[in-house]
Amino acid sequence: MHPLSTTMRLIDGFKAGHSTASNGLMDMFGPILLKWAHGRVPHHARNHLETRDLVQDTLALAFKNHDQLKADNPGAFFCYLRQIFLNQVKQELRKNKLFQVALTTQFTHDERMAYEEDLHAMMAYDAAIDQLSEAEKHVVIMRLEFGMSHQEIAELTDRKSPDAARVYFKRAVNKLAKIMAKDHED
Amino acid sequence: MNDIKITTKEQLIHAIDQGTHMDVDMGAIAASSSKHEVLALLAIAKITTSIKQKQADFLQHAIRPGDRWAHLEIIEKIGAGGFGSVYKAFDRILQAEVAVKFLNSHSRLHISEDEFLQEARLMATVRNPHVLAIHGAATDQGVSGYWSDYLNGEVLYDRILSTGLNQDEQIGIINQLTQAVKATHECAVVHGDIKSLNVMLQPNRGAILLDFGSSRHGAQDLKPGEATQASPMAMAPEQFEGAGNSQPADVFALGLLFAEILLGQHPLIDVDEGQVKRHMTDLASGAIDLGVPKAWQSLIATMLSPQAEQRPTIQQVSAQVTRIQQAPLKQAKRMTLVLSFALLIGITVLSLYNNWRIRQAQQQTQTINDIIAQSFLSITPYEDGRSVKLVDGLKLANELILTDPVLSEETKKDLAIQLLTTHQALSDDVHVLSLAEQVLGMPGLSEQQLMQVHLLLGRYHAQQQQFELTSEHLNRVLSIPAEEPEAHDLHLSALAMLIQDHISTERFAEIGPLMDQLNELKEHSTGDPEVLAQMAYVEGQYHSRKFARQQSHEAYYRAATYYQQQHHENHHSVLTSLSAGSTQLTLSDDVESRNQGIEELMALIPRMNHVLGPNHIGTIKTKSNLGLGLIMAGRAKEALEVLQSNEAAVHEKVGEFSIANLRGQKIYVAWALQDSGQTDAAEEAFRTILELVSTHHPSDHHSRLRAAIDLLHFYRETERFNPAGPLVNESLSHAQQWFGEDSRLYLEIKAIGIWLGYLQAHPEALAQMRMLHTQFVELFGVEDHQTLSVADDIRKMELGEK
Repeated sequence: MHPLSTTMRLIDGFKAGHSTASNGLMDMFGPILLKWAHGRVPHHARNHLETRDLVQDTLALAFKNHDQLKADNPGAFFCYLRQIFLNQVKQELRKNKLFQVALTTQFTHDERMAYEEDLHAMMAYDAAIDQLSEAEKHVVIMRLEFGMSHQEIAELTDRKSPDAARVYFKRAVNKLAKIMAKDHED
Repeated sequence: MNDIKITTKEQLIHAIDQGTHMDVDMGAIAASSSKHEVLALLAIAKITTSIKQKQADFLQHAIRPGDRWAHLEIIEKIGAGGFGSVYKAFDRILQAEVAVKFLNSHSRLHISEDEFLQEARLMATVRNPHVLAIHGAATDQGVSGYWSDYLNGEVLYDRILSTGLNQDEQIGIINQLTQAVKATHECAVVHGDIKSLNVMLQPNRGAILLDFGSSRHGAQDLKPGEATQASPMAMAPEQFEGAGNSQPADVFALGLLFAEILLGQHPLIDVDEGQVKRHMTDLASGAIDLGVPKAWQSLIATMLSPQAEQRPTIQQVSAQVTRIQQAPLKQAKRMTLVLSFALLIGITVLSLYNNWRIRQAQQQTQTINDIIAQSFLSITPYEDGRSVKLVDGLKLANELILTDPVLSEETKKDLAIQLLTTHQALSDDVHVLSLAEQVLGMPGLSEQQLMQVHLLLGRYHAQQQQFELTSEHLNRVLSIPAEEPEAHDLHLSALAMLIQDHISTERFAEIGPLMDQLNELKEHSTGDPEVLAQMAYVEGQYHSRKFARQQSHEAYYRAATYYQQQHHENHHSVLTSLSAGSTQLTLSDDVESRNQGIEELMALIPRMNHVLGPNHIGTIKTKSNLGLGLIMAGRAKEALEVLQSNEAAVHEKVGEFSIANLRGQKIYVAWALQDSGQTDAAEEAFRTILELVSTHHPSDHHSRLRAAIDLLHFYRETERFNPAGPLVNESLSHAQQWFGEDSRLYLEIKAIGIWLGYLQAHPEALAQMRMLHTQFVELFGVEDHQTLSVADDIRKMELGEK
């Protein structure tokens, strides 16, 4: 992981419209996003979606309008890319007729149920994540989905120590579970 | 993986944080927390585990050292830049190290795969000794890449900074780079990023221009909104204003590079990055004094003209460079003429002769490269099923070679054999046979060429397990007298294969004389490490069959050393030889050696995992062998763990019903089950193997009988007489029919039958076993392991032991 200062400088450079900064961000975030994205494409849809293409589209969209980027720290930038990617997946799955046909004709009842169940759980999780504060959301996503260490998270979120990041993360997960439980009860 | 018993919500969150598997005590946890919250946490855990699992799957597919991509073996990553990552690899077709550049996934934003491959096509059109030569391009496993010469020289930028260049070197490099850019522009290609970081100084070859990552055809222009990929320190003034790459911009960058070479540093080295544009314009307008030697001043000044159209073409630059160079040379020539006219004539004649030879060789190499590159490029990018495409390429290359109007008949024969070798190594396609026939039909084949073709056919039939045909071709090779050392090498290879063939089919009696012959021939070998490695490997197999574990271990390790000399320490042949050697120790009777072997394999597995990857056949086999070693060491439970963890990879790599799986991994699992006391599961496993071998490999009689023998040994050891009797009779009948009554398999089954009779108090058992022993002694000798085993059975019978 690049030091916080580099990431921030690149984000600032990108927002100011410097093309070298967008290249730097792509170099930095592209591989991380690709690895993460492979974890987020629904299992049963993997044969129907080309993850690399979706990542490419995500990056293209993310770097299209530099002046619309609200992110002011690396965690926010991860969330920004993540959100674009997830929207791409949803859109693709809706558009992808082959997948729709496969879902109804080629998948067995159990496979269809497993897909629905996974999708439902993921939607509940994503909905609950959106209800966390921005800072909590960043930490949870960086740890659980991007697999970053507490040391890296501490650096990227400007926390004092890995331990501080860990405590913050655990509290955020606890909150996430409470939201999911409440959503479920509702 | 250690499961943690989780009784509190905090422990559950901690387990999610650590990504550890969890065993939740719902009763305990529900007493202190809300059930819905616990369920939500479990859902979070499930989701994140699934994400990590899928990510791990993906990473497994990322390119790593030891992987195979197209026909290349990836050795190590050597750099990243432009749009791709560059790896050192071994090209099995060219039998040489190459550099392969892959398109980074995130670079697809800038260029499509086709554009990336276009870069390779462009580079392939430029043929000049000072331009990086492209050997091919492909898309394999979803990854696009192209491969070129592997250069391990020094980057010009580093050289200028470290020791600097003397005057001769400066002029030499300027001349070579001019030729490189001239060749590039003459093919209507623009380089787009000429700078000292993109020039490699290679011993014996001089300067080589690399990285056409920004290149494009001169006729094309940048797309609207697209920016040049050139580095700011090599950009012409117009490029700062948004102009794209062009031939005049290349000339500008070359002018800057000339100045850097002559000055020993970039003319704008001290300039702040933000000020480059302004200084570059000043430089171009002549406002900055370059301070280069006078002879070069005006040429460089014109190359750096602010107006693109005022810059000279590369042809004009080239002519000027030649004029500047020739000034001192002319003087030297005059001096030489005066001092020693006769000597000069001698040198000139010699040099002309050498030049003629070099040109001949270069022309031929050029033609060969062109043909191969053309055939490969014309079918790229490969799609899935690349071996089929690769075969197409080889066929095409063969056709091109045979119909080429320039190549001599002799070269055509050499090339056709070379392609046949490649074809045979890469594919078991039946086309190998027709290609071989075509080559054999070429008039005037030398004896050595005939040997080569028959050796290849032997190898092909060995792969198909057509052992009679294998022997026929290998004996043809051996029947041709070898006079040259290279022909001796071919004899050695044929002998080594023949011995392997005999080992595979358990024809041990004939191996001894063949080994003697092999040892005799060794003295005449050229010392080619590949051949020496092959011989050492066969020796390892031979000693293994004689249960001489230590000797076998040494031979395999020797093979590893030779393979290392030929390739590198992490080449799969090195690692698999080491694995085979260590496996021998694990099978040793001596406890210390056995433990040493197990330790060696345990140390080797992480290395193989890292270098070759967990799904490489060598890694899989080594894990299986470790399982076997642990069984031999009485550590059946550990063995079972190792073997079961390897099962999925084995199925994926070698196929669930392949002989390699059924006669390797699956048998080991059955043994481990038996030794760990799970006898019913073991019986089921042995029976399944026999059934699968019979169903899926009905013509592989050897494997079928071996599977039956394994089951019979199990019956013998667990004293299960009822199912054993019919199986003995059936197997004896098959062995007699397929291999004859003198075969080892027949006699081995007979020995088991007699022992089962002894266990059931058959009065004739001892006499029968003694007769069998006599037969074994006659056929295989007293020292043979099975003769010894039968002798041991007799001893036990005499003492009334089981």
